[in-house]
Amino acid sequence: MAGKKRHDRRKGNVSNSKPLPPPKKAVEKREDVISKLPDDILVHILTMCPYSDAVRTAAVSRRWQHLHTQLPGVLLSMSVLGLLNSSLGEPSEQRVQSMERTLRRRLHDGNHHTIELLRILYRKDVPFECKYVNKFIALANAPRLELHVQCAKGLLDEDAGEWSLELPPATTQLKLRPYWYAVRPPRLHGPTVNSLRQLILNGMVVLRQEFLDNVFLPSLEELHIVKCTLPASIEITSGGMPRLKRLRVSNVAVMSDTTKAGIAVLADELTTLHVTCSCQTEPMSSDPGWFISPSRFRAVFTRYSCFRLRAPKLRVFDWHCCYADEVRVDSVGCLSDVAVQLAAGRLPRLGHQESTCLTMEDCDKQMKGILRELMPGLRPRKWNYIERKCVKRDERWLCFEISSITPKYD
Amino acid sequence: MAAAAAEATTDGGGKMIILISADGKRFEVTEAVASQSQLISNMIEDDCTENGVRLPNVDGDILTMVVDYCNMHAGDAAAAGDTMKASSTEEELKKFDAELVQALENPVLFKLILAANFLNIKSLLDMTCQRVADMMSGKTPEQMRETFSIENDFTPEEEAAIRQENAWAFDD
Repeated sequence: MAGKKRHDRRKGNVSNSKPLPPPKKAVEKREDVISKLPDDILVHILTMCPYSDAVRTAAVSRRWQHLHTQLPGVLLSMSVLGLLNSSLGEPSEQRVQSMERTLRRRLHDGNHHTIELLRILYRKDVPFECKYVNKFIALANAPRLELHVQCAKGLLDEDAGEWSLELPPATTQLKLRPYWYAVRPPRLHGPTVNSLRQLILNGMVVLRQEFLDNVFLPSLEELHIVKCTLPASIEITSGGMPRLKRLRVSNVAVMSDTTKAGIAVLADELTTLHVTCSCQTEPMSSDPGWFISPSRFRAVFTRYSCFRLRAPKLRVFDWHCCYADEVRVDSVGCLSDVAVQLAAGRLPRLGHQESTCLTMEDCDKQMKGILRELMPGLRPRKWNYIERKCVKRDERWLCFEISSITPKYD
Repeated sequence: MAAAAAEATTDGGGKMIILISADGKRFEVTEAVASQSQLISNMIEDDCTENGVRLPNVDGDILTMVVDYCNMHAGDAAAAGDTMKASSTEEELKKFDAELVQALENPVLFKLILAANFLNIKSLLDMTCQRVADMMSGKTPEQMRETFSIENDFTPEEEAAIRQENAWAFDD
Protein backbone atom coordinates (compact mmCIF):
# COMPACT_ATOMS: atom_id res chain seq x y z
CA MET A 1 0.00 0.00 0.00
CA ALA A 2 2.62 2.45 1.06
CA GLY A 3 4.71 1.45 -1.93
CA LYS A 4 1.90 2.26 -4.31
CA LYS A 5 1.39 5.67 -2.83
CA ARG A 6 5.06 6.40 -3.06
CA HIS A 7 5.06 5.43 -6.69
CA ASP A 8 2.10 7.71 -7.41
CA ARG A 9 3.76 10.59 -5.67
CA ARG A 10 6.92 10.21 -7.72
CA LYS A 11 4.85 10.48 -10.83
CA GLY A 12 3.23 13.55 -9.33
CA ASN A 13 6.64 15.03 -8.77
CA VAL A 14 7.41 15.00 -12.45
CA SER A 15 4.15 16.44 -13.70
CA ASN A 16 3.97 18.67 -10.62
CA SER A 17 0.27 19.40 -11.05
CA LYS A 18 -2.21 17.28 -9.13
CA PRO A 19 -2.49 18.27 -5.45
CA LEU A 20 -1.13 15.40 -3.37
CA PRO A 21 -3.13 13.38 -0.91
CA PRO A 22 -1.97 13.77 2.67
CA PRO A 23 -0.04 10.52 3.38
CA LYS A 24 2.78 11.40 5.73
CA LYS A 25 5.61 9.77 3.81
CA ALA A 26 4.87 11.60 0.59
CA VAL A 27 4.86 14.98 2.29
CA GLU A 28 8.22 14.26 3.92
CA LYS A 29 9.89 13.38 0.67
CA ARG A 30 9.17 16.75 -0.89
CA GLU A 31 9.89 18.64 2.27
CA ASP A 32 13.14 20.48 2.72
CA VAL A 33 14.37 18.38 5.62
CA ILE A 34 18.00 19.34 5.53
CA SER A 35 17.38 23.02 6.23
CA LYS A 36 15.65 21.99 9.45
CA LEU A 37 18.75 20.40 10.88
CA PRO A 38 20.28 22.49 13.66
CA ASP A 39 23.11 24.87 12.83
CA ASP A 40 25.80 22.80 14.49
CA ILE A 41 25.03 19.74 12.38
CA LEU A 42 24.88 21.73 9.16
CA VAL A 43 28.17 23.40 10.03
CA HIS A 44 29.61 19.97 10.79
CA ILE A 45 28.54 18.85 7.32
CA LEU A 46 30.06 21.96 5.76
CA THR A 47 33.40 21.28 7.46
CA MET A 48 33.49 18.05 5.44
CA CYS A 49 33.08 19.88 2.14
CA PRO A 50 35.82 21.76 0.35
CA TYR A 51 35.71 25.33 1.65
CA SER A 52 34.65 26.75 -1.71
CA ASP A 53 31.64 24.40 -1.79
CA ALA A 54 30.71 25.51 1.70
CA VAL A 55 30.86 29.17 0.69
CA ARG A 56 28.77 28.39 -2.38
CA THR A 57 25.92 27.20 -0.18
CA ALA A 58 25.46 30.87 0.78
CA ALA A 59 23.53 31.30 -2.48
CA VAL A 60 21.17 28.39 -1.83
CA SER A 61 18.70 30.08 0.49
CA ARG A 62 18.50 32.46 3.43
CA ARG A 63 18.82 29.54 5.83
CA TRP A 64 22.21 28.77 4.33
CA GLN A 65 23.44 32.26 3.63
CA HIS A 66 25.54 32.70 6.75
CA LEU A 67 26.21 29.13 7.82
CA HIS A 68 29.65 29.04 6.25
CA THR A 69 30.71 32.00 8.38
CA GLN A 70 30.55 29.66 11.38
CA LEU A 71 33.19 27.35 9.97
CA PRO A 72 36.33 27.23 12.10
CA GLY A 73 38.64 27.22 9.10
CA VAL A 74 39.02 29.53 6.15
CA LEU A 75 40.92 27.69 3.44
CA LEU A 76 41.78 29.60 0.31
CA SER A 77 43.64 28.60 -2.83
CA MET A 78 44.62 31.71 -4.74
CA SER A 79 46.07 29.78 -7.65
CA VAL A 80 47.65 26.40 -8.05
CA LEU A 81 50.71 25.62 -10.15
CA GLY A 82 50.32 22.99 -12.78
CA LEU A 83 46.56 22.74 -12.51
CA LEU A 84 45.29 22.33 -16.03
CA ASN A 85 41.71 22.66 -17.19
CA SER A 86 40.77 24.83 -14.26
CA SER A 87 40.67 28.56 -13.79
CA LEU A 88 42.65 27.97 -10.58
CA GLY A 89 45.66 27.15 -12.74
CA GLU A 90 46.04 30.83 -13.67
CA PRO A 91 46.61 33.58 -11.11
CA SER A 92 43.74 36.08 -11.11
CA GLU A 93 43.60 39.28 -9.12
CA GLN A 94 39.83 39.42 -9.55
CA ARG A 95 39.46 36.08 -7.88
CA VAL A 96 41.69 37.07 -5.01
CA GLN A 97 39.72 40.29 -4.58
CA SER A 98 36.51 38.32 -4.26
CA MET A 99 38.20 36.18 -1.61
CA GLU A 100 38.88 39.38 0.26
CA ARG A 101 35.19 40.29 0.06
CA THR A 102 34.23 36.88 1.45
CA LEU A 103 36.68 37.33 4.29
CA ARG A 104 35.63 40.90 5.08
CA ARG A 105 31.94 40.02 5.00
CA ARG A 106 32.55 37.26 7.51
CA LEU A 107 34.48 39.56 9.80
CA HIS A 108 31.87 42.33 9.57
CA ASP A 109 28.91 40.08 10.31
CA GLY A 110 27.72 41.10 13.76
CA ASN A 111 28.37 37.99 15.85
CA HIS A 112 31.02 36.48 13.68
CA HIS A 113 32.77 33.35 14.74
CA THR A 114 36.50 33.56 15.21
CA ILE A 115 38.54 32.11 12.41
CA GLU A 116 40.45 29.31 14.10
CA LEU A 117 42.55 28.40 11.12
CA LEU A 118 43.55 30.40 8.09
CA ARG A 119 45.12 28.32 5.37
CA ILE A 120 46.23 29.93 2.15
CA LEU A 121 47.76 28.29 -0.86
CA TYR A 122 49.48 30.81 -3.10
CA ARG A 123 52.46 31.45 -5.32
CA LYS A 124 55.57 33.25 -4.19
CA ASP A 125 56.31 34.26 -7.77
CA VAL A 126 53.00 36.10 -8.18
CA PRO A 127 53.44 39.51 -6.50
CA PHE A 128 49.77 40.41 -6.09
CA GLU A 129 49.06 37.09 -4.41
CA CYS A 130 51.83 37.80 -1.88
CA LYS A 131 50.37 41.25 -1.26
CA TYR A 132 46.90 39.89 -0.56
CA VAL A 133 48.23 37.08 1.60
CA ASN A 134 49.69 39.64 4.00
CA LYS A 135 46.38 41.45 4.07
CA PHE A 136 44.35 38.29 4.67
CA ILE A 137 46.66 37.18 7.47
CA ALA A 138 46.22 40.49 9.27
CA LEU A 139 42.44 40.51 8.69
CA ALA A 140 41.77 36.95 9.80
CA ASN A 141 44.04 37.13 12.83
CA ALA A 142 43.69 33.39 13.25
CA PRO A 143 45.31 31.41 16.08
CA ARG A 144 46.46 28.87 13.52
CA LEU A 145 48.06 30.04 10.34
CA GLU A 146 49.05 27.71 7.54
CA LEU A 147 50.79 28.92 4.39
CA HIS A 148 51.31 26.64 1.43
CA VAL A 149 53.78 28.50 -0.73
CA GLN A 150 54.33 27.43 -4.29
CA CYS A 151 56.79 28.85 -6.76
CA ALA A 152 57.43 28.21 -10.42
CA LYS A 153 60.64 26.40 -11.20
CA GLY A 154 63.35 27.97 -13.33
CA LEU A 155 63.78 31.30 -11.54
CA LEU A 156 67.25 32.82 -11.62
CA ASP A 157 69.35 30.74 -9.19
CA GLU A 158 66.12 29.01 -8.18
CA ASP A 159 65.65 31.74 -5.65
CA ALA A 160 62.48 33.78 -5.19
CA GLY A 161 64.33 36.09 -2.80
CA GLU A 162 63.99 37.14 0.78
CA TRP A 163 60.61 37.70 2.29
CA SER A 164 59.18 38.40 5.64
CA LEU A 165 56.03 37.38 7.39
CA GLU A 166 54.30 39.55 9.94
CA LEU A 167 52.36 37.48 12.40
CA PRO A 168 49.02 38.83 13.64
CA PRO A 169 48.33 39.11 17.39
CA ALA A 170 46.31 35.90 17.76
CA THR A 171 48.62 33.51 15.97
CA THR A 172 50.18 30.87 18.17
CA GLN A 173 50.69 28.12 15.60
CA LEU A 174 52.42 28.65 12.31
CA LYS A 175 52.77 26.02 9.65
CA LEU A 176 54.84 26.82 6.59
CA ARG A 177 54.61 24.47 3.64
CA PRO A 178 56.98 25.67 0.91
CA TYR A 179 56.69 23.60 -2.26
CA TRP A 180 59.93 24.41 -3.97
CA TYR A 181 63.49 25.27 -3.02
CA ALA A 182 63.16 28.69 -4.62
CA VAL A 183 61.00 29.68 -1.67
CA ARG A 184 63.16 30.73 1.23
CA PRO A 185 61.95 30.41 4.79
CA PRO A 186 60.60 33.84 5.74
CA ARG A 187 61.90 36.28 8.27
CA LEU A 188 59.29 36.21 11.01
CA HIS A 189 58.42 39.47 12.65
CA GLY A 190 55.65 41.41 14.35
CA PRO A 191 55.11 41.98 18.06
CA THR A 192 53.40 38.63 18.49
CA VAL A 193 56.31 36.53 17.38
CA ASN A 194 56.68 36.54 21.16
CA SER A 195 53.61 34.39 21.63
CA LEU A 196 54.24 31.81 18.94
CA ARG A 197 54.00 28.37 20.55
CA GLN A 198 54.36 26.03 17.62
CA LEU A 199 56.32 26.38 14.41
CA ILE A 200 56.30 23.83 11.64
CA LEU A 201 58.52 24.23 8.63
CA ASN A 202 57.63 21.40 6.30
CA GLY A 203 58.69 21.42 2.72
CA MET A 204 61.36 21.47 0.11
CA VAL A 205 63.25 24.46 1.27
CA VAL A 206 66.87 25.31 1.93
CA LEU A 207 67.28 25.89 5.63
CA ARG A 208 70.12 28.12 6.72
CA GLN A 209 71.19 29.12 10.16
CA GLU A 210 70.03 32.69 9.54
CA PHE A 211 66.40 31.59 9.65
CA LEU A 212 66.96 30.40 13.20
CA ASP A 213 69.14 33.34 14.17
CA ASN A 214 66.95 36.10 12.80
CA VAL A 215 64.16 35.66 15.25
CA PHE A 216 63.79 35.33 18.99
CA LEU A 217 60.88 33.06 19.86
CA PRO A 218 60.49 33.29 23.62
CA SER A 219 57.28 31.21 23.84
CA LEU A 220 58.03 28.55 21.27
CA GLU A 221 57.48 25.09 22.72
CA GLU A 222 57.34 22.96 19.64
CA LEU A 223 59.43 23.05 16.50
CA HIS A 224 59.18 20.73 13.52
CA ILE A 225 61.69 20.85 10.72
CA VAL A 226 60.59 18.52 7.98
CA LYS A 227 61.95 17.72 4.50
CA CYS A 228 64.25 20.74 4.47
CA THR A 229 67.75 20.68 3.06
CA LEU A 230 70.86 21.83 4.91
CA PRO A 231 73.66 23.50 2.96
CA ALA A 232 75.64 23.86 6.20
CA SER A 233 75.34 23.05 9.88
CA ILE A 234 72.49 24.42 11.97
CA GLU A 235 72.18 25.04 15.67
CA ILE A 236 68.91 25.04 17.54
CA THR A 237 69.57 26.73 20.85
CA SER A 238 67.95 28.09 23.95
CA GLY A 239 69.32 31.44 22.93
CA GLY A 240 66.68 31.76 20.23
CA MET A 241 64.00 29.48 21.73
CA PRO A 242 64.38 29.38 25.50
CA ARG A 243 61.14 27.40 26.10
CA LEU A 244 61.58 24.77 23.41
CA LYS A 245 60.20 21.46 24.75
CA ARG A 246 59.57 19.34 21.70
CA LEU A 247 61.67 19.10 18.59
CA ARG A 248 61.10 16.99 15.53
CA VAL A 249 63.70 16.82 12.78
CA SER A 250 62.25 14.69 10.05
CA ASN A 251 63.60 13.77 6.63
CA VAL A 252 66.03 16.65 6.70
CA ALA A 253 68.61 16.15 3.97
CA VAL A 254 71.98 17.68 3.26
CA MET A 255 72.52 19.59 0.05
CA SER A 256 75.01 17.32 -1.72
CA ASP A 257 77.06 14.23 -1.06
CA THR A 258 80.04 16.40 -0.19
CA THR A 259 78.13 18.74 2.12
CA LYS A 260 79.43 18.60 5.66
CA ALA A 261 76.40 19.62 7.65
CA GLY A 262 75.60 18.77 11.23
CA ILE A 263 72.80 19.52 13.64
CA ALA A 264 73.36 20.85 17.14
CA VAL A 265 70.52 20.94 19.62
CA LEU A 266 71.44 22.92 22.69
CA ALA A 267 68.14 23.39 24.46
CA ASP A 268 67.79 23.65 28.22
CA GLU A 269 64.06 22.90 28.41
CA LEU A 270 63.83 20.23 25.72
CA THR A 271 62.01 17.09 26.84
CA THR A 272 61.25 15.32 23.58
CA LEU A 273 63.43 14.83 20.55
CA HIS A 274 62.62 12.96 17.35
CA VAL A 275 65.28 12.69 14.68
CA THR A 276 63.91 10.58 11.89
CA CYS A 277 64.65 9.87 8.27
CA SER A 278 62.65 7.72 5.95
CA CYS A 279 64.69 4.56 5.57
CA GLN A 280 67.37 5.42 3.07
CA THR A 281 68.70 1.96 2.40
CA GLU A 282 67.37 -0.92 0.37
CA PRO A 283 67.77 -4.56 1.35
CA MET A 284 71.15 -6.03 0.39
CA SER A 285 69.45 -8.46 -1.91
CA SER A 286 67.91 -5.61 -3.92
CA ASP A 287 68.74 -5.12 -7.56
CA PRO A 288 72.12 -3.39 -7.73
CA GLY A 289 71.06 -1.42 -10.80
CA TRP A 290 68.93 0.84 -8.67
CA PHE A 291 69.31 4.55 -9.24
CA ILE A 292 67.53 7.80 -8.79
CA SER A 293 67.74 11.06 -10.66
CA PRO A 294 70.12 13.65 -9.18
CA SER A 295 68.80 16.72 -7.43
CA ARG A 296 70.56 20.02 -7.08
CA PHE A 297 69.13 20.38 -3.63
CA ARG A 298 69.35 16.99 -2.00
CA ALA A 299 72.20 14.58 -1.52
CA VAL A 300 71.50 11.10 -2.76
CA PHE A 301 72.30 9.81 0.71
CA THR A 302 72.12 11.99 3.79
CA ARG A 303 74.73 11.60 6.46
CA TYR A 304 75.06 14.38 9.02
CA SER A 305 78.65 15.29 9.82
CA CYS A 306 77.79 15.58 13.49
CA PHE A 307 74.78 15.46 15.76
CA ARG A 308 75.31 17.22 19.02
CA LEU A 309 72.85 17.29 21.87
CA ARG A 310 72.75 19.22 25.08
CA ALA A 311 69.33 18.86 26.65
CA PRO A 312 69.54 18.39 30.40
CA LYS A 313 65.78 17.77 30.72
CA LEU A 314 65.41 15.38 27.82
CA ARG A 315 63.18 12.39 28.56
CA VAL A 316 62.28 11.06 25.13
CA PHE A 317 64.92 10.30 22.54
CA ASP A 318 63.83 8.83 19.23
CA TRP A 319 66.29 8.26 16.43
CA HIS A 320 65.13 6.54 13.29
CA CYS A 321 67.24 5.65 10.27
CA CYS A 322 69.42 8.74 10.32
CA TYR A 323 73.18 8.49 10.03
CA ALA A 324 75.74 10.79 11.55
CA ASP A 325 79.51 10.54 11.44
CA GLU A 326 79.51 11.52 15.06
CA VAL A 327 76.85 11.68 17.75
CA ARG A 328 77.84 13.71 20.77
CA VAL A 329 75.70 14.10 23.82
CA ASP A 330 76.76 16.70 26.36
CA SER A 331 73.80 16.10 28.61
CA VAL A 332 70.36 14.53 28.75
CA GLY A 333 67.81 14.16 31.53
CA CYS A 334 66.68 10.88 32.99
CA LEU A 335 65.40 9.22 29.84
CA SER A 336 61.99 7.57 30.04
CA ASP A 337 61.72 6.52 26.43
CA VAL A 338 64.49 5.71 24.02
CA ALA A 339 64.22 4.29 20.57
CA VAL A 340 67.12 3.95 18.20
CA GLN A 341 66.51 2.21 14.90
CA LEU A 342 69.07 1.74 12.19
CA ALA A 343 68.84 -0.08 8.91
CA ALA A 344 71.75 -1.60 7.05
CA GLY A 345 71.58 -2.14 3.34
CA ARG A 346 72.36 -0.88 -0.07
CA LEU A 347 72.67 2.86 -0.38
CA PRO A 348 70.87 4.86 -3.02
CA ARG A 349 73.15 5.93 -5.84
CA LEU A 350 73.14 7.57 -9.20
CA GLY A 351 73.43 5.53 -12.35
CA HIS A 352 77.16 6.04 -12.84
CA GLN A 353 78.15 5.47 -9.21
CA GLU A 354 79.46 2.32 -7.63
CA SER A 355 76.97 0.46 -5.54
CA THR A 356 77.80 0.89 -1.85
CA CYS A 357 76.42 -0.49 1.33
CA LEU A 358 75.87 0.44 4.88
CA THR A 359 76.97 -2.71 6.66
CA MET A 360 75.70 -4.14 9.89
CA GLU A 361 79.12 -3.28 11.37
CA ASP A 362 78.54 0.39 10.48
CA CYS A 363 75.16 0.21 12.17
CA ASP A 364 76.65 -1.50 15.21
CA LYS A 365 79.19 1.26 15.52
CA GLN A 366 76.57 3.95 15.19
CA MET A 367 74.29 2.26 17.71
CA LYS A 368 77.07 1.77 20.25
CA GLY A 369 78.13 5.36 19.78
CA ILE A 370 74.63 6.67 20.39
CA LEU A 371 73.95 4.44 23.41
CA ARG A 372 77.32 5.21 24.95
CA GLU A 373 76.58 8.90 24.68
CA LEU A 374 73.07 8.45 26.10
CA MET A 375 74.32 6.33 29.00
CA PRO A 376 74.23 9.14 31.61
CA GLY A 377 70.47 9.39 30.96
CA LEU A 378 69.95 5.65 31.14
CA ARG A 379 71.31 5.19 34.63
CA PRO A 380 70.94 5.11 37.49
CA ARG A 381 67.78 3.25 36.71
CA LYS A 382 65.93 0.46 38.42
CA TRP A 383 65.03 -2.14 35.89
CA ASN A 384 61.67 -2.85 37.42
CA TYR A 385 60.55 0.56 36.22
CA ILE A 386 61.12 -0.50 32.68
CA GLU A 387 57.90 -1.45 31.04
CA ARG A 388 59.28 -2.59 27.76
CA LYS A 389 62.65 -3.19 26.39
CA CYS A 390 63.43 -4.50 23.03
CA VAL A 391 66.57 -5.22 21.15
CA LYS A 392 66.08 -6.37 17.64
CA ARG A 393 68.75 -7.50 15.33
CA ASP A 394 68.43 -9.25 12.01
CA GLU A 395 70.32 -8.99 8.77
CA ARG A 396 68.90 -5.54 8.11
CA TRP A 397 67.60 -3.92 11.26
CA LEU A 398 69.22 -2.95 14.49
CA CYS A 399 66.82 -1.56 17.04
CA PHE A 400 66.96 -0.64 20.67
CA GLU A 401 63.93 0.48 22.60
CA ILE A 402 63.09 1.30 26.18
CA SER A 403 59.90 2.72 27.53
CA SER A 404 59.36 3.13 31.22
CA ILE A 405 56.28 3.20 33.35
CA THR A 406 57.23 6.48 34.95
CA PRO A 407 54.86 9.25 33.90
CA LYS A 408 55.87 11.04 30.75
CA TYR A 409 56.19 14.76 30.90
CA ASP A 410 55.60 15.35 27.27
CA MET B 1 15.37 -7.01 11.57
CA ALA B 2 13.98 -5.30 14.67
CA ALA B 3 12.60 -8.56 15.89
CA ALA B 4 15.92 -10.30 15.33
CA ALA B 5 17.72 -7.74 17.43
CA ALA B 6 15.10 -7.80 20.17
CA GLU B 7 15.17 -11.57 20.44
CA ALA B 8 18.93 -11.74 20.77
CA THR B 9 19.98 -13.52 23.90
CA THR B 10 22.65 -12.76 26.38
CA ASP B 11 25.99 -13.94 25.19
CA GLY B 12 28.99 -14.72 27.32
CA GLY B 13 27.60 -12.90 30.35
CA GLY B 14 27.57 -9.45 28.66
CA LYS B 15 24.98 -7.34 30.43
CA MET B 16 21.98 -6.51 28.26
CA ILE B 17 20.06 -3.28 28.19
CA ILE B 18 16.83 -2.41 26.47
CA LEU B 19 16.38 0.56 24.19
CA ILE B 20 12.83 1.78 23.59
CA SER B 21 12.07 3.84 20.52
CA ALA B 22 9.56 6.69 20.26
CA ASP B 23 6.94 4.31 18.88
CA GLY B 24 7.53 1.77 21.62
CA LYS B 25 9.71 -0.77 19.84
CA ARG B 26 12.14 -2.53 22.14
CA PHE B 27 15.70 -3.45 21.29
CA GLU B 28 17.83 -5.62 23.52
CA VAL B 29 21.53 -5.01 23.11
CA THR B 30 24.68 -5.65 25.09
CA GLU B 31 26.21 -2.85 27.06
CA ALA B 32 29.24 -3.02 24.81
CA VAL B 33 27.07 -2.39 21.78
CA ALA B 34 24.99 0.33 23.40
CA SER B 35 27.89 2.20 24.91
CA GLN B 36 29.10 3.27 21.50
CA SER B 37 26.51 5.91 22.15
CA GLN B 38 28.14 8.38 24.47
CA LEU B 39 24.70 9.29 25.79
CA ILE B 40 23.91 5.70 26.77
CA SER B 41 27.45 5.09 27.96
CA ASN B 42 26.99 7.95 30.42
CA MET B 43 23.65 6.50 31.51
CA ILE B 44 25.25 3.11 32.08
CA GLU B 45 27.88 4.77 34.21
CA ASP B 46 25.18 6.52 36.20
CA ASP B 47 23.28 3.24 36.62
CA CYS B 48 20.05 4.46 35.11
CA THR B 49 19.43 1.85 32.45
CA GLU B 50 17.61 -0.64 34.71
CA ASN B 51 14.14 -0.11 33.27
CA GLY B 52 15.20 0.33 29.69
CA VAL B 53 16.32 3.48 27.95
CA ARG B 54 13.53 5.51 26.39
CA LEU B 55 14.55 7.42 23.31
CA PRO B 56 11.54 9.70 22.71
CA ASN B 57 12.92 11.29 19.57
CA VAL B 58 14.16 8.22 17.72
CA ASP B 59 11.68 6.21 15.66
CA GLY B 60 11.79 2.43 15.61
CA ASP B 61 12.91 2.15 12.00
CA ILE B 62 15.77 4.58 12.61
CA LEU B 63 16.72 2.86 15.85
CA THR B 64 16.83 -0.42 13.94
CA MET B 65 19.52 1.04 11.74
CA VAL B 66 21.39 2.50 14.67
CA VAL B 67 21.33 -0.82 16.49
CA ASP B 68 22.48 -2.65 13.35
CA TYR B 69 25.30 -0.18 13.01
CA CYS B 70 26.33 -0.50 16.63
CA ASN B 71 26.15 -4.29 16.53
CA MET B 72 28.34 -4.28 13.48
CA HIS B 73 30.86 -1.94 15.04
CA ALA B 74 31.00 -3.39 18.53
CA GLY B 75 33.26 -6.18 17.35
CA ASP B 76 30.81 -8.41 19.17
CA ALA B 77 29.05 -10.11 16.33
CA ALA B 78 27.86 -13.01 18.46
CA ALA B 79 25.20 -10.91 20.13
CA ALA B 80 23.96 -9.47 16.88
CA GLY B 81 21.11 -10.61 14.70
CA ASP B 82 21.33 -13.62 12.39
CA THR B 83 22.55 -11.61 9.42
CA MET B 84 25.84 -10.85 11.10
CA LYS B 85 27.10 -14.11 12.41
CA ALA B 86 30.55 -13.85 10.89
CA SER B 87 33.09 -11.80 12.72
CA SER B 88 33.27 -8.47 11.01
CA THR B 89 36.55 -7.65 9.42
CA GLU B 90 37.52 -4.12 8.58
CA GLU B 91 36.63 -4.67 4.96
CA GLU B 92 33.20 -5.96 5.81
CA LEU B 93 32.66 -3.00 8.08
CA LYS B 94 33.54 -0.59 5.32
CA LYS B 95 31.20 -2.36 2.95
CA PHE B 96 28.44 -2.41 5.53
CA ASP B 97 28.88 1.31 6.23
CA ALA B 98 28.95 2.22 2.56
CA GLU B 99 25.81 0.21 1.84
CA LEU B 100 24.06 1.62 4.86
CA VAL B 101 24.47 5.26 3.87
CA GLN B 102 24.25 4.79 0.11
CA ALA B 103 20.87 3.14 0.32
CA LEU B 104 19.22 5.84 2.36
CA GLU B 105 16.77 8.31 0.91
CA ASN B 106 17.17 11.87 2.06
CA PRO B 107 14.58 12.14 4.84
CA VAL B 108 15.79 8.89 6.40
CA LEU B 109 19.40 9.98 6.13
CA PHE B 110 18.63 13.19 8.02
CA LYS B 111 16.69 11.31 10.68
CA LEU B 112 19.67 9.04 11.10
CA ILE B 113 21.91 12.09 11.47
CA LEU B 114 19.64 13.52 14.14
CA ALA B 115 19.59 10.18 15.95
CA ALA B 116 23.37 9.86 15.79
CA ASN B 117 23.66 13.40 17.07
CA PHE B 118 21.18 12.82 19.90
CA LEU B 119 22.70 9.50 20.92
CA ASN B 120 26.14 11.00 20.44
CA ILE B 121 27.66 8.26 18.29
CA LYS B 122 30.48 10.17 16.69
CA SER B 123 31.48 7.66 14.03
CA LEU B 124 27.91 7.28 12.79
CA LEU B 125 27.37 11.04 12.84
CA ASP B 126 30.56 11.62 10.88
CA MET B 127 29.72 8.93 8.38
CA THR B 128 26.21 10.20 7.70
CA CYS B 129 27.31 13.83 7.58
CA GLN B 130 30.08 12.85 5.19
CA ARG B 131 27.45 11.30 2.95
CA VAL B 132 25.57 14.60 2.86
CA ALA B 133 28.80 16.51 2.29
CA ASP B 134 29.57 14.22 -0.64
CA MET B 135 26.13 14.91 -2.06
CA MET B 136 26.80 18.66 -1.84
CA SER B 137 30.37 18.79 -3.05
CA GLY B 138 30.94 20.16 -6.51
CA LYS B 139 27.33 21.18 -6.99
CA THR B 140 25.99 24.55 -8.04
CA PRO B 141 23.42 26.19 -5.73
CA GLU B 142 20.67 25.15 -8.16
CA GLN B 143 21.78 21.53 -8.02
CA MET B 144 22.00 21.68 -4.23
CA ARG B 145 18.45 23.02 -4.03
CA GLU B 146 17.25 20.27 -6.30
CA THR B 147 19.08 17.53 -4.41
CA PHE B 148 17.67 18.57 -1.06
CA SER B 149 14.35 20.13 -2.15
CA ILE B 150 15.38 23.52 -0.80
CA GLU B 151 13.28 26.47 -1.83
CA ASN B 152 15.09 29.53 -3.12
CA ASP B 153 13.79 32.42 -1.05
CA PHE B 154 16.20 35.02 -2.42
CA THR B 155 15.18 37.68 -4.88
CA PRO B 156 17.21 37.42 -8.08
CA GLU B 157 19.06 40.59 -7.06
CA GLU B 158 19.97 39.19 -3.65
CA GLU B 159 21.25 35.98 -5.13
CA ALA B 160 23.27 37.86 -7.73
CA ALA B 161 24.82 39.96 -4.97
CA ILE B 162 25.90 36.87 -3.02
CA ARG B 163 27.37 35.29 -6.12
CA GLN B 164 29.21 38.46 -6.97
CA GLU B 165 30.56 38.93 -3.48
CA ASN B 166 31.93 35.38 -3.33
CA ALA B 167 32.69 35.11 -7.02
CA TRP B 168 35.80 32.98 -6.42
CA ALA B 169 33.69 30.15 -5.03
CA PHE B 170 31.54 30.11 -8.16
CA ASP B 171 34.40 29.80 -10.66
CA ASP B 172 34.35 26.90 -13.09
